[in-house]
Amino acid sequence: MPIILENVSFFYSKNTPLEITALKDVNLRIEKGEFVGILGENGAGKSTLIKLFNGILRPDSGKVTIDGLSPSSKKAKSMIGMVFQQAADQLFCRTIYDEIAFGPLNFGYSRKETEERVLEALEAVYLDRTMLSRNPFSLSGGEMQRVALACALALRPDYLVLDEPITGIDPSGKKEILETLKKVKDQGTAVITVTHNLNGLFPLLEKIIHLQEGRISFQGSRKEYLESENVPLPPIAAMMRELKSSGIQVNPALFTVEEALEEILRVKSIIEKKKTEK
Amino acid sequence: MQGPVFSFVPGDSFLHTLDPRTKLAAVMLLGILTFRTESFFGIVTLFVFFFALASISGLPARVFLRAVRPMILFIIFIFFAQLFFTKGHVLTSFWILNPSLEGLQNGLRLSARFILLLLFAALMTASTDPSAITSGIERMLRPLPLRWLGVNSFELATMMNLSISFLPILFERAERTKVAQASRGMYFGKNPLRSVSALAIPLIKGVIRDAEELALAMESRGYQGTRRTSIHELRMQRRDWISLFALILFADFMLRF
Ligand SMILES: Nc1ncnc2c1ncn2[C@@H]1O[C@H](COP(=O)(O)OP(=O)(O)O)[C@@H](O)[C@H]1O
Ligand SMILES: [Mg+2]
Repeated sequence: MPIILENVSFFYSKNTPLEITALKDVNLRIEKGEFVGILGENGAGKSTLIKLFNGILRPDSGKVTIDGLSPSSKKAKSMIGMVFQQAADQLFCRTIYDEIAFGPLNFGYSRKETEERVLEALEAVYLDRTMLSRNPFSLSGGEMQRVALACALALRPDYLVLDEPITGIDPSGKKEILETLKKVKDQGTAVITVTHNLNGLFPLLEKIIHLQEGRISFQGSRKEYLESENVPLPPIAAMMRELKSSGIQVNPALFTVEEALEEILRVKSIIEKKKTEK
Repeated sequence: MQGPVFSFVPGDSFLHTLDPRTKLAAVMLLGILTFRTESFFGIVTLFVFFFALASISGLPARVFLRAVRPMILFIIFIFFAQLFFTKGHVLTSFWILNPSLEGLQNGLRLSARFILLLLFAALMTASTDPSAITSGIERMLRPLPLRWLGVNSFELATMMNLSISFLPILFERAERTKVAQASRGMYFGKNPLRSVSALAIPLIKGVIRDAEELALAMESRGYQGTRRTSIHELRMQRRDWISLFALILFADFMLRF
């Protein structure tokens, strides 16, 4: 069962002169096990969109359902794990153990079940068990972000939703977060991530939703995304498109260095063959 | 984009060109006046006075909407608390609630006063450059024997000014924390104390961190905590004295009701 949004619109400060249209007529469907990227410029409505998934915000018109349930129901909330960009804004316990246990305990799991979930979540984010008794505020930014991720994973969510998970994280922390997300996805959880860092997360995305001024301007597979106009591209894809538009017949829908190199060499050999034939 | 509450809107109106001290004194005086005014006629007069100043200032209406908006719930709460809990002539009664006539009057009066306070404060902050406010406060505090407390008037003024500019950041931070904890099921938890600490601790730690960062940034840009030569050489002009005099006459007139 999926997350479904039907004709969803959302306004901040509705019916006042300060009204802001944050989302307009958004339709989307996210299935379990998908890896979805929500892209768009600052202020496009990405963060607003994900806050609709767990009922933090309610749509002003249209309908949001999580596996057919209302997003503000307890059942639906326990199916959605949220990780926000500013991890430090949520840490408050004396130990990392308590921090990760906060969610499962709130949703009424027993001490024993909670402990199991804490250990599982910690392992999933590649943090060491010796960390459990440490104070979350003694951590580096990257580690804090991973603890916040573990907090969400401890709910064993069906949908893991992340706002800019790797923006501002050092490369090593980044790698571990990406590994975790891959693993979580392979276990059948939907991973939905807001990002404008096209480099790090792009290779993992299967489906892309591009927001522009509160409307969905593109929705489709990554391949379709690379072929469509007026969307921001990762650097390699942008370069390939440049090559194509300057008359070199490469396939522009590529984004990794290896693929690009291979493609360029392929085209080069074709060009050289033509020359010798002449 | 969303602008912060109580921020400065540059302009060249009469209000913009007044000395910050004049405006600080005016806000204090108007604040006292607002809370000393009992009659509805008086409160209406103050609103008229506000609208007159606001139109002189040429500030857009959204400046004032923004100042009042975050407090709306609080004001509504005050209104209803007064309405239902003031004893007097019962208007109607339904369920266990007995709104009284006196309650209605008190409620309207108190909410109107709060709104007036916010409006006058917004009028000052929107028409005065923040650094001019700092200089103004500093000059007003200078005669006080603050050295005994281990601070000087400039430090105190900077502190006040920073606290005001920190408020929007604080609200934003509180909102982010609330959202993050709600996502972890805070509202389903059984222990209300835990919810309080889940909100308060990240907030306090965050604010302390912000403050430390700000202090470092200020020091690395040469802030010494001592008075510096100000770009705002404060001089009371004739128009300042006239404004103050007019205001005092106005206050005198209002207090006679
Ligand atoms: N709490 C809020 N109050 C009013 N307006 C807001 C609030 N949060 C966001 N907005 C506005 O809604 C729009 C969408 O914001 P947001 O969803 O945060 O965008 P993004 O995450 O894509 O940068 C922006 O114009 C933003 O200024
Ligand atoms: Mg955002």
